[in-house]
Amino acid sequence: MKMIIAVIKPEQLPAVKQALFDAEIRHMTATSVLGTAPRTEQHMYRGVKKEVSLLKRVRLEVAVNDANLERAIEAISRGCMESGGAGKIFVTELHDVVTVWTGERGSRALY
Amino acid sequence: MGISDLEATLLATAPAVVQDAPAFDALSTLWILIAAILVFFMQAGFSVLEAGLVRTKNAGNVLMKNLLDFSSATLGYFVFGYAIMYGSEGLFFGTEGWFLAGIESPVEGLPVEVFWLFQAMFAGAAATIVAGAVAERMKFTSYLAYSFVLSAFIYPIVGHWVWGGGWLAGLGFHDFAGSTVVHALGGVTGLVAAWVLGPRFGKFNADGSPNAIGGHSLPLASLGVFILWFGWYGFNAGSTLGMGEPDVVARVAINTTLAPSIGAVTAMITSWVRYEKPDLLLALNGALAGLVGITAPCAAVSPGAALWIGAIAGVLCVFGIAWIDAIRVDDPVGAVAVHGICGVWGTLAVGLWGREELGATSDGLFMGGGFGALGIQTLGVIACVGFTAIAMWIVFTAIDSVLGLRVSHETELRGLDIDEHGIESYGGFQIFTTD
Repeated sequence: MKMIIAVIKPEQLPAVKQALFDAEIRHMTATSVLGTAPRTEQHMYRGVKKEVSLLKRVRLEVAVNDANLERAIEAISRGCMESGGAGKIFVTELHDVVTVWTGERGSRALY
Repeated sequence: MGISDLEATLLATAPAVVQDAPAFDALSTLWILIAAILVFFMQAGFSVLEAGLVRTKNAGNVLMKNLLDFSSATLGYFVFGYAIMYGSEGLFFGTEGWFLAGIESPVEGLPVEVFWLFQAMFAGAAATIVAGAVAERMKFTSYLAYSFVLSAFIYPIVGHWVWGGGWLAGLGFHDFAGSTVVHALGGVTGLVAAWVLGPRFGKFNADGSPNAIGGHSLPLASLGVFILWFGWYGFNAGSTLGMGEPDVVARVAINTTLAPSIGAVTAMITSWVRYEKPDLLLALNGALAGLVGITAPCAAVSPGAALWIGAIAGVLCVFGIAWIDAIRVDDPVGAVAVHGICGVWGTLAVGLWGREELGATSDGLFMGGGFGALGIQTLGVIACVGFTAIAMWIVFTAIDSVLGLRVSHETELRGLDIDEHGIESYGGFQIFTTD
């Protein structure tokens, strides 16, 4: 079991979500976060330049069984490429999963 | 008793009742009452404009200051202010009518209560301008002390000079609705206060270059500007102090529409050229700059002149905001540029475009009247702004030594809402801190 954490731009979320749905991966958690990037953004506030280094990002978490990992990564990558090309995907081991309602554990509780 | 008996009784007593009552002009009284209510609503405009232009952690404190400076201004103006401003003739201040006791309105046909109400709204407006300039760092108790002193003593003294039959009125100084008396006075008080207080933490770099500390709600700020503009029709068109000359009321109203409209346009263009994008906040400030600029000359100039006055005010405010940053004074909402600089501009504009046939003391420079009117306007501005600056510097320095003007560094970082008032302005919302 793996936990996929994708950090993408807010405007990429619709395309990435659609790509995951198309790959029949329908469970995910999205959070608004701030993240630094190699390049900062220049904003202007009442005529004063503003260097914005913490930029708005969406952190998308998707937990999958090992067999579906590559499909999920491909879907996220395709969604990112369709919407500008930026994004970072992190994959970590997942020790256990519990579905509270049924009591199922481990890979049976996951897609 | 039959109906005819009742009629007979009423007819018999009616003339006596009419003879006892002073002759009030109902239409004028109604208009000034409505105008006073419009000017009162400007407090709502100032409140949300300033709340929108500060960070979430200080929004409640700014709202609190807006409510309490108006309330203490009204109280101070009732007890002391009105008597100093309109109580009796005299070159420098009046001395009768404390608590409004035993005096009549200086305007024929208006009850003194409605005249007081209209004037008290003006005192409140002058006090509230400063809240924006000192936002995010001035101690609440010190702010209360300042606003009482300003509206009970300083504002009425300047007001007496210009509107209460004082020495500037005698010279023919013309400030129809208060570009100097209200706006330049509020603006220069904001400048002195912001200068004595020092900038917010993080506003200026070591080399003196400014950083942007963004406000948290542009929709609130925009709503505030529209409400102010709405209230300004009462502020300017109500300064006719009656409906005796409907053509003057009408001219004031059209000038109060044209000047802010073109002020918004010229401020937008200036920001577009200087900063590459049309800036919402600078355009909003441009509209306010046009309103402040037309406030003194609104009755005495033609609509064409109002366009010139508003257009120049819009440009002045954009450069003014940059200039305030350049002298390292931190004015979070641009009050000094909008009210101070454009208030001075509007007052001088009377000496340029003012027309004697429209109510100015004499024709302005561009109307073929020579430098006379401009000279008197300049003298009046220097006197009012100079007196206010010196008096308020003494007041702020005194408050600083007794109460302390500024909150602690820790309070400034945590926000004035939680440390000064124990509240969160956006409890239940997830607030994203971006700087």
